[in-house]
Amino acid sequence: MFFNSVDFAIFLPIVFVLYWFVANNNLKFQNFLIVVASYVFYGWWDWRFLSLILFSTLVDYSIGVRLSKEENTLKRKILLWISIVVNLGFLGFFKYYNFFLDNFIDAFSIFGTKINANSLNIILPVGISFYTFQTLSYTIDVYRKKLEPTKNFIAFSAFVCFFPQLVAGPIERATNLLPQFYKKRTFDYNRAVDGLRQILWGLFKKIVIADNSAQIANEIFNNSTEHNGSTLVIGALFFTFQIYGDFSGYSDIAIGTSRLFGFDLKQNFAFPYFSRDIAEFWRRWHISLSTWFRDYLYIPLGGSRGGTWMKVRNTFIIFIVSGFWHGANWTFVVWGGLNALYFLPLLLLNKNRTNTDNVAQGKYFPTIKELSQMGFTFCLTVLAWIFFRAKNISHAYDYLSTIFSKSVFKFPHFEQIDLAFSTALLISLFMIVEWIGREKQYAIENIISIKNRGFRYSIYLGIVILIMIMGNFEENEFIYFQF
Amino acid sequence: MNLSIFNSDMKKFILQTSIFSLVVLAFLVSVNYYGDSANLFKPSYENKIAEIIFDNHNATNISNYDERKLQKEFVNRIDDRPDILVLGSSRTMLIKSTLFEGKKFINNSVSAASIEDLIAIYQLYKAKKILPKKIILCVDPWIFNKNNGKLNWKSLTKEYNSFSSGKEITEKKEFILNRKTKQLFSFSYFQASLSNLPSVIEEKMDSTALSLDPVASDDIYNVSSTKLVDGSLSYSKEYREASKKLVTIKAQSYIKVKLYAIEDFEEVSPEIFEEFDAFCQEILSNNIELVFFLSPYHPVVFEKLKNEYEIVLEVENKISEYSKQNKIELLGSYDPLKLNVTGDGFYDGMHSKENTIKKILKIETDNDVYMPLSEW
Repeated sequence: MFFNSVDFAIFLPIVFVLYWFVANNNLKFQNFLIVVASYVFYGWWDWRFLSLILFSTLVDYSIGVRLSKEENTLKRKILLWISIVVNLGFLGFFKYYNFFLDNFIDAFSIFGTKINANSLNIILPVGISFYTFQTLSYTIDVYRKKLEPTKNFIAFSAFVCFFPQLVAGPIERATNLLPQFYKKRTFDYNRAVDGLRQILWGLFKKIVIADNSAQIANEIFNNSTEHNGSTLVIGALFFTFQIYGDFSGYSDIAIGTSRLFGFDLKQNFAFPYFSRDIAEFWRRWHISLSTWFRDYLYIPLGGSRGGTWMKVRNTFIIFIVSGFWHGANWTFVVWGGLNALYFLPLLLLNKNRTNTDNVAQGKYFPTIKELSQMGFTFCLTVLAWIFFRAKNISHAYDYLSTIFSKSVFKFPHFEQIDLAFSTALLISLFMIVEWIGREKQYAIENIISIKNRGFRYSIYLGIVILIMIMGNFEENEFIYFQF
Repeated sequence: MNLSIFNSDMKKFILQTSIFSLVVLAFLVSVNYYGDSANLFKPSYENKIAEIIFDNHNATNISNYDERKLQKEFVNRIDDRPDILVLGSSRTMLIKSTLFEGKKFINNSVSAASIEDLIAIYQLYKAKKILPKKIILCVDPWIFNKNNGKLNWKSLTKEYNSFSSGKEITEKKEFILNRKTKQLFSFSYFQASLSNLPSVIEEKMDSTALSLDPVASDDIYNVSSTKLVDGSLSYSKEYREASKKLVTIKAQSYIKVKLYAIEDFEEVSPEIFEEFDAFCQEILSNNIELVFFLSPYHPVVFEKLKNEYEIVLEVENKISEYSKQNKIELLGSYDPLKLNVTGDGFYDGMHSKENTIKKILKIETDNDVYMPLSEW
């Protein structure tokens, strides 16, 4: 079920009413309802893969219980590794089996050895990368004794499959989300209204910004050999806004929906395109994944404690693994590697934590310096997104070669130029709103401070009408569903 | 149900969100109903076209109507058995009675025809016991693609089900939320209807404004598309007069996006092929002469099909084999080279010009005299 579908528009109010009116008095019943609703939500796409979620839930729940009773270090380690192997095993099989097989065959063919092995027709279960990481965080935290293992199976199941963030995050930590399933939730008007506001903004980002940008980016990327350099720059720019609108839009809808049910999820995007350097960008982009890798990979690898070489090595490892997490394609690995390269100078000069505040905090406009820093970071990001969007490495290479050729000075030409103009205008408006609201959790959070209710509602209505008139209603999938 | 939660905060929340949703919904429904870009809520639109045609005029100024419903209107008004009936998609709409002198000819082609459409329109004749003597059946590759996403045939659900079950099915009262009423809540329909709204308002306010209804005309070629007296079509001026360069651009654009109805075409669906076979056997068993018509693609498009959509070639081979087995005449090919047709023979990526059609039908004479349905 997509957030931008009629199905979800019907599903959400039904679950809301059942949750607050039927199950309200009983915490267990509320949690159970969340589990059922989440399984329906997921099963709407493909019910066969519900067994995977259930299995993963059972394994991690049981291991959590066993860890609470086990004091022997070796046995605890074994239990942890069982969880890691099971979870990553599923992920590896469904996501990476064909990739490794194909590369294995290719590698041997270089030495003249032909291996006959058939790729499997494997469907990637939606959201597997997200809920796998979420359940792993639970087991690791229990192992590290940072979290009390739960004995409440329903609450744990609800934590694993919580429908707002099940298929594309934010990847919640057990330490943040799980305790919320133990406490009685009471309806809070302000929180619910705030949730609806964030959902509205998320829908705008997805339906207006991302899906219109996608139409242009797809045309240009899919026919890149026929276009000149300037057109390809436009394609890359639209993809840059597509991926941001798509993914941060999803996160906004997920966070907003959770608030309707009395849950608080972590912020996943903090206006990353206003970053002044690449380190800041990565503190603001897909925060739940970046912090996951920081806590469960970077720090265990030694983090930045072992000197410069160790820092560089570990940084490259997390960026490359993070790239690979996105998909079984070398393009994602290069994308990760490229970001690590961008990061390197900051790391070596020890400037990776220079910009930890908001840009132009408390001011209307940035300084020239800040503006140029943001522009430079943005350009680096756009360049990296080309690898992310390309079909394969040679496609990305050809795309970049055309951009860095004389044809970049030619006038851009492509089919949907009218759509590109209107979308560019909408993106400008969008970025202005994002700039104004950059110190908040999401851009239009501050609307609540407008005292005049009529004016406030006019703004909401304006956004709704803008979505209706300028939106793209093809029920486009969210990009991150494929990860 | 626990109503204790229904405290003032919850009441306020539900009331406010309900009012807000109702305002948005009312706006959506009103624009969809009054703007009505596809004339879904103007019940007499197809009837008006049919009336014009059976009044021995061509109907122009037509757009966005239910073509399936129009075929029903046509057949309802016919009492005689046609000599020649064309069943197919937009790719056969230009086949005209002028090519078949003295024959009772009707073109029942509908845009984006699927196997269900072909069967359902045939069933209209069967139910009235006026089966034609000859059927020219356009076999488009997408009819064998189970993922073609075609649902337009649903306007003829009753006829399709009657054929499939072999029994006369009475019209069921439609569920209130049917395909048509669902459009009232559609955002895509909203966007199209909103752009149509100014013309609707203009028409209502200004009596001299251009009518949005179909208009009778005695001319074959008009500014907008024209449904002719024999059920065939003549394209709008803009389409007819497109330069060679523009046609090439159209063909190039055609292949830049997802190819029409043949994406996810993994195999010739065995179920659909079986249905197609049953349909052909039914036609043959009624002693109707059956001719398969394969409409070619523009050379630019075919090049792409050949390289990336081999399944289309597979369909042609299968149809060719089937026609031989069943002694059915096969005219045309998806491959323009086989027919010796260049880009000049097309209006766009997949619609042939009249000369190309004549070439496929192997007809050299065209007396330019139409046989109106009203004069059968």
